[in-house]
Amino acid sequence: MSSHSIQTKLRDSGIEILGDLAWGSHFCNFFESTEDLLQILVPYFKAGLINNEFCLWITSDPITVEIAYEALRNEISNFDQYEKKEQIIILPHVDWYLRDKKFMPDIVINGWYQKLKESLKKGFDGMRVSGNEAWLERDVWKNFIDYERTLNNSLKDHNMIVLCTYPLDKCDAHAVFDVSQVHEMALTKRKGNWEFIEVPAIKLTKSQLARHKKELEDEVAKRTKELTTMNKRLKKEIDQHKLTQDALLKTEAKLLTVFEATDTAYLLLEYDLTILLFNHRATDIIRKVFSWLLKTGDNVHDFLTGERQVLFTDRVQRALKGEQINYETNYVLKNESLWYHVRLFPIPKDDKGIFGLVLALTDITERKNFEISRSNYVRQIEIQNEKLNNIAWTQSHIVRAPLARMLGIMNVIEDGEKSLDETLMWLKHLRNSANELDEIIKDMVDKAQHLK
Amino acid sequence: MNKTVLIVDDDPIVRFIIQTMIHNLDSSVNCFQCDNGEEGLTVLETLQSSTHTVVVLLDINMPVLNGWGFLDSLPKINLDSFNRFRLYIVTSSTDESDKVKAHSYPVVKKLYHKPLSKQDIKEILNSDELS
Repeated sequence: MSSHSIQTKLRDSGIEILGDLAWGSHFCNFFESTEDLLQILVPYFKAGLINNEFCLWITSDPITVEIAYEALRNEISNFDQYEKKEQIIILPHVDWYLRDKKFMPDIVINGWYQKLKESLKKGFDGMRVSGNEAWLERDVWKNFIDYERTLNNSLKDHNMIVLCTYPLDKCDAHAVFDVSQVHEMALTKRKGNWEFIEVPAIKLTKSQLARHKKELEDEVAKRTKELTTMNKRLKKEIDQHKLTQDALLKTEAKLLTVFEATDTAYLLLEYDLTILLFNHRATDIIRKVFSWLLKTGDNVHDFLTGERQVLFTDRVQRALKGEQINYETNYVLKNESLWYHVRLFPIPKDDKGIFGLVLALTDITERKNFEISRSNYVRQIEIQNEKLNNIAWTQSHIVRAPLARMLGIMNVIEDGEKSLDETLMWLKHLRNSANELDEIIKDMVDKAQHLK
Repeated sequence: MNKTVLIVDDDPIVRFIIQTMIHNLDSSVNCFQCDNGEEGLTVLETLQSSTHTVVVLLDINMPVLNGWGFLDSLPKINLDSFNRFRLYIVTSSTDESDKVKAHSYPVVKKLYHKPLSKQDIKEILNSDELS
């Protein structure tokens, strides 16, 4: 197994105060009583069994192999199955530390690693070990501490957790210090209470380091994930922004095309009538009408003078109050008469004010000329109609007068007997009326011929 | 019943024709010739106490006071003081508007176009019997 996986794969210690431990953990416990010792070792091995670890418990006073088995059986309901699988071995210290009647550190250390190798072959994740060092006598103390140090230094690369237990009543302060120095962590359970023995050099155990590292890795993974998400979002936003920008550029290009292609002259004016923007058509019209070459920053009053300026200023004032101004205006140049439809409308600002004005001029000369000629034509028709009406009236009143008289005379002549003188008189009246009618008809024909 | 006819027309020949045709039918009819509306009103005022049936034959186009002016001034005269009063428009105009306007005056009994025929004269003189 690689060191990486050793560091990252944490094991449940079974001991509440320790929590999870990394492989390679090596710690010691100073106990006061049998109960204290069992209270740490039983949950320690239980956790190992449950988590597929091979367990090796080296007993010494005050706990015998039998007591150890009994304690585990009492605590673990299916303990028989673990025994059957040979997942746990409990040996007296003499069968492990003193196999050759003498404590031989190298043989013991090799023994641990041999057992570990076998357990891994059998399919266990690693090995959990506890040795009770109550058997130690003063003569092997130094030798044993050296062994602990060697073991401590070599354990880090192995899937192995080692808990060494020391009876507190056999350890003086010097011994506690020695033992603590060669373990990553020292703890004690006295009268049911757990306590860490603080040794500055070993404050951070491998498990703590591993835990911190894992927390750090988790944090890094979390942050990496967040960064990836943020990156994706940012990329999406950049893409969207680019799309929006492209769309805006296209729209701007289209608007500019329309702005330049339109027949209407547009001038964007500031509040004081300074010209901010204009199209080509505006340039053409201003040059033609005012002989003024338009440029940004010019003021309308630069080329619009006299009475027209006064009128325009009045209209601008109305437009600035929000009114839309529409009017037609005529410019008589040397060779032509030009007509424009002028519109002035305000440009509202976001904050409800008015930013400026748009001045739009459309050439309506052609339409206007047509309207004028049509108006003249209509007037001419009206005059002709009036003349025709006069003719009709004349026909009704003037022509019919002598005609009616003539018919009346004839009625009289036909009505009853007349003397010759009377008849001649009536004939004379008839002649006069006929002459009168002739004159009237001549006059009418003459007038009709001069209708235009 | 005796009749008095006022011929209000600026054309003396027309007045003479009408008067001749009236007398050819009934020589007892008393005829007055007036050159314009103003003269017509003056004569009409003098006839207010007459027991005759008074008939006015009124032309439209006349100088001084035309036929419309005559009709507008007619309310000044108390027409109820006449035994019988009849007013006819006699015009050479065939203009439709004249006809419409003439009918807007309730006092106008009928509009005739010139020249008046013998039948028209009979109708005018005998209107009393018909009415």
